[in-house]
Amino acid sequence: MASDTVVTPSRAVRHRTALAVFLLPFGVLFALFYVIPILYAVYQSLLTVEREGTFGPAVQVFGGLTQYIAVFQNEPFWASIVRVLSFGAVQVPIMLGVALALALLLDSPLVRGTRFFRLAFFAPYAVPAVIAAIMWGFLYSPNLSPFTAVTSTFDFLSAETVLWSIANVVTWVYVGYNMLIIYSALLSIPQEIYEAARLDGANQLRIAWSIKIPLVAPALVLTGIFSIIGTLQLLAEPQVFASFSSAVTSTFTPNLTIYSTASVPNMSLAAAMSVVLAVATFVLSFTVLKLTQRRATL
Amino acid sequence: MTMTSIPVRRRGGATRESAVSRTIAMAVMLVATLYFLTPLWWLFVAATKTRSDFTTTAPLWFADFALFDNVAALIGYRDGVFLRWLLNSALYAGVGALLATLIAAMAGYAIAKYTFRGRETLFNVVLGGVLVPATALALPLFLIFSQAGATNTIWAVLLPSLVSPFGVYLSRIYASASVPDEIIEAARIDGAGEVRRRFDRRAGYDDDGAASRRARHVCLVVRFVVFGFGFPPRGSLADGRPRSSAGSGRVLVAFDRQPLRHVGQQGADLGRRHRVAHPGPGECRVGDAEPTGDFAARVRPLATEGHQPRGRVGLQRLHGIPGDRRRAELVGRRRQEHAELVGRRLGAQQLLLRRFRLLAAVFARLVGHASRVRGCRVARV
Repeated sequence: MASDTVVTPSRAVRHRTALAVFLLPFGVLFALFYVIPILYAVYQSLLTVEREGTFGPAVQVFGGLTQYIAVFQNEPFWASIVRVLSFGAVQVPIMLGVALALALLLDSPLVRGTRFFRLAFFAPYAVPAVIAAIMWGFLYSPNLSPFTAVTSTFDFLSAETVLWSIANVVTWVYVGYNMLIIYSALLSIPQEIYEAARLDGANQLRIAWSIKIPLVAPALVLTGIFSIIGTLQLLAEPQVFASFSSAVTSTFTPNLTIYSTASVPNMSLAAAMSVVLAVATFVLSFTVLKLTQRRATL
Repeated sequence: MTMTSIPVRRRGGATRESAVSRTIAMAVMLVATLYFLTPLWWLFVAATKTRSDFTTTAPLWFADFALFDNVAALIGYRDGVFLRWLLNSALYAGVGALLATLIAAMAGYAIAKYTFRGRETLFNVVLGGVLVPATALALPLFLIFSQAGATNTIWAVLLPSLVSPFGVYLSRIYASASVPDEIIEAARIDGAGEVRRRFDRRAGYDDDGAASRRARHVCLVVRFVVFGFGFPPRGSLADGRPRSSAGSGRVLVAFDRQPLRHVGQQGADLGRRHRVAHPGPGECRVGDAEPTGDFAARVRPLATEGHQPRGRVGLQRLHGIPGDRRRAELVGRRRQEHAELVGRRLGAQQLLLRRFRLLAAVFARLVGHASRVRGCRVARV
């Protein structure tokens, strides 16, 4: 991929070696640990297990799209996709909204001690997802929680509420991270623009709405896309919550479904599910990207 | 662009706001702080309690302080296996992050700055890698490693973690947004080797077309967002006295190709040397540009230390036009680009760099390293 490269002759010929040096380490590792495993997963997803008679030895044979048909008929898998989609539809806007609001406040002259607040909001991101989930599991518990007044009357771990309890954990972890991205974007807005706005008589709210938010829109798109990807791939939090709440089943999220299918073990079906999930993720984030890009250029 | 003094940056907007909106804003911040920190506080308090106190005493306040007993028990757990785990994490996070950053940065840079057949395809394939669910990779990886007999070794964890498609994506954006082609051209003509130059440039960014102004003398001028990794703080170069406040800011890194004395690590050294090196502000005359004030003072030493200009000949040979005219074109284009960058694209490189402090830290180290090898000057603006 690297060496057969001639577009600008003076450059390409002279720098062929350099190009190879830059691209080869990543290219080799990417091929070994991304491309080959993915191809292997695709290959596996095309296999199916057959037995001779009822008790014959299991043999893996080429099964065509059998596994994919099985995936599309697998109701728990689709239920889990619908579940994370509804999760994302609610949680991602809330998380990004809070992150944006906090970033705007940090950037405004209204707030003192921005350094402390920045650190305080970012701190949860330093907590590993598993630890965060265990911790919130305790905080939600009816007996051990510091907020037993609330948790003993309201069940955070019931079938109806546990998804949103998990949403709170995810929000808690990632608001600070997203806030930092947005805040960095805000910092790179040139001061002259604010000056001009102030001369025109704009107040802080007006500046935030008409200048800051439009200018940080690319950062919002970026955080949005990665939040969507993260949501579709939820695994650690629900896995931990399964030990607190019986409402979290082994097919709670797509990744959890794949995980439990693989440990059956039904590698081929799990591989097919992974491929479907990857394609779905790709389509969704690509759609969002295209939609927002179109709006941005208008 | 005149910059006689660096204005104190007051974030946001107006300096006077009503007490009511101040109070509301602070109230919101405090509520948010409670939300984010209370669970962490609970975690810490819980870690200081004995097992029986954990269930029987008030969850948000200390009982018998048993933190050290707990930590001792943790370290003693299974003959200190926890320390082993910590070391493992340090290895995977440290070595893995360092190498992954390096590898991704090289690839991203190559994709951004070289034209070659299949470039876009390669980039799209890499980007597709971001979207692959971890579980989809984990299984086949495990099977592959077990066939190679490498499960239960550090390689099975470390090697896959060296591949970061997202890192490639980031450094491509960063490289194309922040490393102008002119700089590369200038460095090339000055005879820097392709690979070595890339490390210089990784740390670098052309600031306000400053590099174009003095492309003859300087390989690279760099804008670099750092959170204060021992770089001299703002103003330290202007008055020769380094100040202790280390905030975020833009850092100029300038490489010339002189054998080096002792440049680069400590703000104090740096400030002093520059003070000696430049006689005063406003004396810089390079090309057709007009750097003045503090900025000129910083630019000056690079132009005066007797570096033999080799750029002109090279430019002529490459483009068949006189060096000065070519340079004037470059300056003009750079300014225009910069204006567009500020107006529209909103400093994508700042965003990304700040987001990845680690990336910044690694690059800062690279700068530090480069400075020991060759001429390198760092200034914060």
